[in-house]
Amino acid sequence: MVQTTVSNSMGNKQERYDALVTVYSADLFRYALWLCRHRPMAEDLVQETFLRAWKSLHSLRDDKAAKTWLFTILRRENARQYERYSPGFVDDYDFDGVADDANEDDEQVAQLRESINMLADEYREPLTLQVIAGYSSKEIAEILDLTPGTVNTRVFRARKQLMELMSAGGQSVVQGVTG
Amino acid sequence: MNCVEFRRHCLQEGVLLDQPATAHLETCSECQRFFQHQTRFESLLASAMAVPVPEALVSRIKLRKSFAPRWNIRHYAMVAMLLLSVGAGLRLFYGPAPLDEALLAHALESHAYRSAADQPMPLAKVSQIAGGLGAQLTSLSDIRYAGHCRIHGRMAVHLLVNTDMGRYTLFLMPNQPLEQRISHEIDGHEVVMFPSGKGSVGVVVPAGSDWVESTEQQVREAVSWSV
Repeated sequence: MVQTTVSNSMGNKQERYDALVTVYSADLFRYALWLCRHRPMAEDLVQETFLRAWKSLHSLRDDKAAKTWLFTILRRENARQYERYSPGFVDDYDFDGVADDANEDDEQVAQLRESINMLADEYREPLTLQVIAGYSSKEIAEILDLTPGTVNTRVFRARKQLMELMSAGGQSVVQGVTG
Repeated sequence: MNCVEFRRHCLQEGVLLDQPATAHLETCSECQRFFQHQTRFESLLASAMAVPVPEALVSRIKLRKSFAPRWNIRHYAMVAMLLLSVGAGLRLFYGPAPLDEALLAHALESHAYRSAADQPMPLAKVSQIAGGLGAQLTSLSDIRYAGHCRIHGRMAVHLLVNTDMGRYTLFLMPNQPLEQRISHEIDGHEVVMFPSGKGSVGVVVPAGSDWVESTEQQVREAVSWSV
């Protein structure tokens, strides 16, 4: 359906751009937030990504490649931002969205977010691309310039560490997995 | 595939099983137990990764593009602040986005990154995912995607269902009570919601489809609850 939406707009740059924004902005924001863990910077990254996409939309020949194209632009833009601003920005990552009347699931999600936040970048990034963007190991490998085997190893270790962190925090959901 | 390979596969691929893994799962009770825990973990992981997106993100992206050639960042910041203030005021006045809009947004977002399977998902796997939130499904045979998601902060089952007439999105929401049936046409889609069990069910189909009513009837007959 999305492919259709984007493809139908091939002839009109503005419509094509709007379709890309509508379809991919949420995923890009989530990816950006897990990359930089700073909400204002994440939003800035997404805006900058789409600005660059607008300027070079003519170079996107195949709309099937739009998603990977946008994720790659964002990743490069993040690298530039780090070059400009890092180190020193205050990490104001928070866990908003967890309801006040938090139930057991909400608490586990909140603890899992803290655990994801503690993962090394090299583990968190491929896991984020897999879970949020639904990419295969091969696709992640292309985006991160790694081999698929390395990607598999990193997402394996990422999940294992998350389970260990959750178990250490007393969350029963993973005890059966690791035990 | 042996048990060690199966578990390694799960930790690499989540709960998306290939043919050898599926075959092993069918024959190994220990790994079935492991897979149940893994499914629960993956559901939580997806929820944790799906951090809330700023309300007016799309508007601000388009706004920045509009002003980029002529305005500097200070002008942009001033307009953004103004929009944010108006948006915050409207949000305070109207509250969060209505449920139907939330369903449509989630259905469209999900299409963006979830490639539906080429073949129907195994019914056992669909049942496992639906059962995780207390839902039972019968007679919906061609399901191409099944997973957990969050709608208005509450866990729901998200399904993509194929029919001869087209594909539709189905949400089973045990924690979203609804007093009566609601149907709205939004942005080229028809969103139908109706009470079911202690919660509700939402169906998103392309607007103008002449199979909305039959789909709703089929869903009503197919869904039951243990909670």
